[in-house]
Amino acid sequence: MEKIKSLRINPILNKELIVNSRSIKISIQLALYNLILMLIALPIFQGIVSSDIGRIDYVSVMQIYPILAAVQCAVICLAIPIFTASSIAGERERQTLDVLLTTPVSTMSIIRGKLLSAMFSVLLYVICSLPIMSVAFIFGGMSWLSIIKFIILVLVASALAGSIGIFCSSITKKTISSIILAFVIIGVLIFGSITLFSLIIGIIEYTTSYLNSSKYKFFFAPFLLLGNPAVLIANQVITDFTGIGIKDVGKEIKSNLMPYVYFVTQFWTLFSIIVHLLLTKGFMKLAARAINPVKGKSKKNVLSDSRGNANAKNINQTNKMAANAVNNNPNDNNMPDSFVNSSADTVTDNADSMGNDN
Amino acid sequence: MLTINHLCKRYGKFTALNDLNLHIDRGEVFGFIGPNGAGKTTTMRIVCGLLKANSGEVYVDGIDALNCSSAIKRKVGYVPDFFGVYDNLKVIEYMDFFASMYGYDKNDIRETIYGLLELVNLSDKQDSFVDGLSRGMKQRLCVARALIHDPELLILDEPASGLDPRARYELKEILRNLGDMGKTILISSHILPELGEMCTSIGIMEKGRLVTSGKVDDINDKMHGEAPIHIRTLSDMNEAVIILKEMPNISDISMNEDEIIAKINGDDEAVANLISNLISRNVKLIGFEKEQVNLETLFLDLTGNKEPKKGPDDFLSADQIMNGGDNSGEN
Ligand SMILES: Nc1ncnc2c1ncn2[C@@H]1O[C@H](COP(=O)(O)OP(=O)(O)OP(=O)(O)O)[C@@H](O)[C@H]1O
Ligand SMILES: [Mg+2]
Repeated sequence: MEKIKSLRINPILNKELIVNSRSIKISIQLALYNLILMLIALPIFQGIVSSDIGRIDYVSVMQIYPILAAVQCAVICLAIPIFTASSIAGERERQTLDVLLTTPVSTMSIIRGKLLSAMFSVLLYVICSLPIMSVAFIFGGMSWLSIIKFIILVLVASALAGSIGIFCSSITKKTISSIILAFVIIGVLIFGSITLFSLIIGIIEYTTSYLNSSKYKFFFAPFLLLGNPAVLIANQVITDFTGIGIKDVGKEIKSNLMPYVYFVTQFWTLFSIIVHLLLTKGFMKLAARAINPVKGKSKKNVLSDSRGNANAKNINQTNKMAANAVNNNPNDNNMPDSFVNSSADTVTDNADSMGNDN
Repeated sequence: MLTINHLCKRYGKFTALNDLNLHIDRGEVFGFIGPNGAGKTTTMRIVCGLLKANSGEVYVDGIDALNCSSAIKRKVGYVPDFFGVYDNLKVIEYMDFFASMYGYDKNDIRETIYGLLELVNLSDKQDSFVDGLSRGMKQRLCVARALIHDPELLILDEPASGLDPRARYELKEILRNLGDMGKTILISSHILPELGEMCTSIGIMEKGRLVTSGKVDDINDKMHGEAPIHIRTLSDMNEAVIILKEMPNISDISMNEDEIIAKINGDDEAVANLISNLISRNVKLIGFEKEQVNLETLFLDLTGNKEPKKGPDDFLSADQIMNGGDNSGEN
């Protein structure tokens, strides 16, 4: 029964698709999006054609690809938090979330449905931009494979951005605060990781120049960038455009890299996709926990009177630990509840399963 | 069907439910009455798994609702006090959506959905958009939605609020049908007389506790038994009061300008005896009636919310009158 159920289309996704198909919003958004792409592409095309009489400069045509790719990624990164901001917060505002939660559908399925529907919109965006993109691709001599790779990477990046947006939506009451929080988290993910990366490299460089050992200059720092969607997509675009990517850079500076780091650079896209998917899963779990009324909130009461077995003491102790873990962070106002509490939850969950095993 | 033992719920320091105990048998229509903030919604949300209790036990059909809420969700249908609907969704799609949330196949459940829409009188609206329905229609749609998985326990939080008398009547009919179908129904309301007509049992809640509960018939009997009698007489009222005071089963004697009000402890036989007794003692009776007590009076009584119904402040107790009313200021 469960298996058959999971094969069927996620009911939330199904509903969102019906609702979205009736909404005029999405058509307007798509039109605007294509307009932006066109406004950027058009001057470049014009420049190419009018630069010389009758001659078309193919290299300039190729330039259009990285530019459009960057615009596309930027727009999607900006649009996704807005798409997803209302996913849970909107259900709360409309007071429909409670009713969803009284159905046997798990909170994770609800989150999954919301994420899939956001990604569906992204797919629409990407498909709508294909005509313009393929001009850039084809004239630039890029293969279909690059287009497909690019689309896959955009979807992976949007899954991460979408899960962040839904997570923010699940812990905020208002859509606007959800949007802002999502921008902050995505910003930290993209710019924060790059800053930290540069900082570490800088520090290592500075100290090793004294120690005079240039080996392993990069340490583990490159791992920081595995979860960075901008790096993921930029690497692909730059590799396609110039023929040089992280893989080649890695080969060049192999002596400076630890063996693991070198290995990862050789399969950068694959590892990066894995990290993206893991992060996505993590944010989805946090979101599912945040909307779960029975698990997400109070921790002190897991021990109910009914569980008077030998494990009770044990559970009580873990609960205290959990409570302490929460109390240690009382000034962490910016951090959403579930962030602070997630560790505590895991502890009590373990305690739960211990209790149930008997 | 539903058993609640020692349920406690705190919001921060505020105790919303304080050792609540409740039992509802299968097939009962249980009315949950209480003033604002008594904890009715809180109780219902805990039973539905929308809120975590601090301590206590909840069993639905023998299943521990607090620890395996997923099994409970197929047994309970919930109609919240405030509910929203989706934009751009038609009534039939709304029902399909919730059917799929319960894992039903759209085609298998079509007949059921039509049946439910029929039950709540929305058959002709199945292709309308839900956000375009009137409040009463949305309410009924919500009831139909809550019934889609054929729950054994239906929980309705103030379903009659915001409805006009006609919609209220229709809702009442729907609930009565469901009661006849053997569903256990827990329903909260402020509208007491209606609950009396609809419910088989009633529980009165206050400050997170169940003050009293019982079968409607029993409560009616009890109230009838405890209702004060109003006596009017041509002769001197003070004399009549003295006579009344001699009788063992009369209590709470008080009087106002033209009547004596007293409580009689006993059945109709005792009332008949009282009348013949008064007459034999030459009290010239011109009026003797038992006050009509309804749920509302009982409710106000039990919840200590003594809203002046007939201006009880005007009443002076018989003792005060006898003593010249000099200490009346103390009340
Ligand atoms: N989320 C919350 N946070 C803090 N206090 C709450 C919360 N929800 C309810 N309360 C408090 O709990 C008490 C019980 O509320 P509840 O909604 O259960 O009352 P009720 O009986 O349904 O009242 P009403 O008749 O107005 O619907 C109230 O005093 C309320 O202030
Ligand atoms: Mg309420």
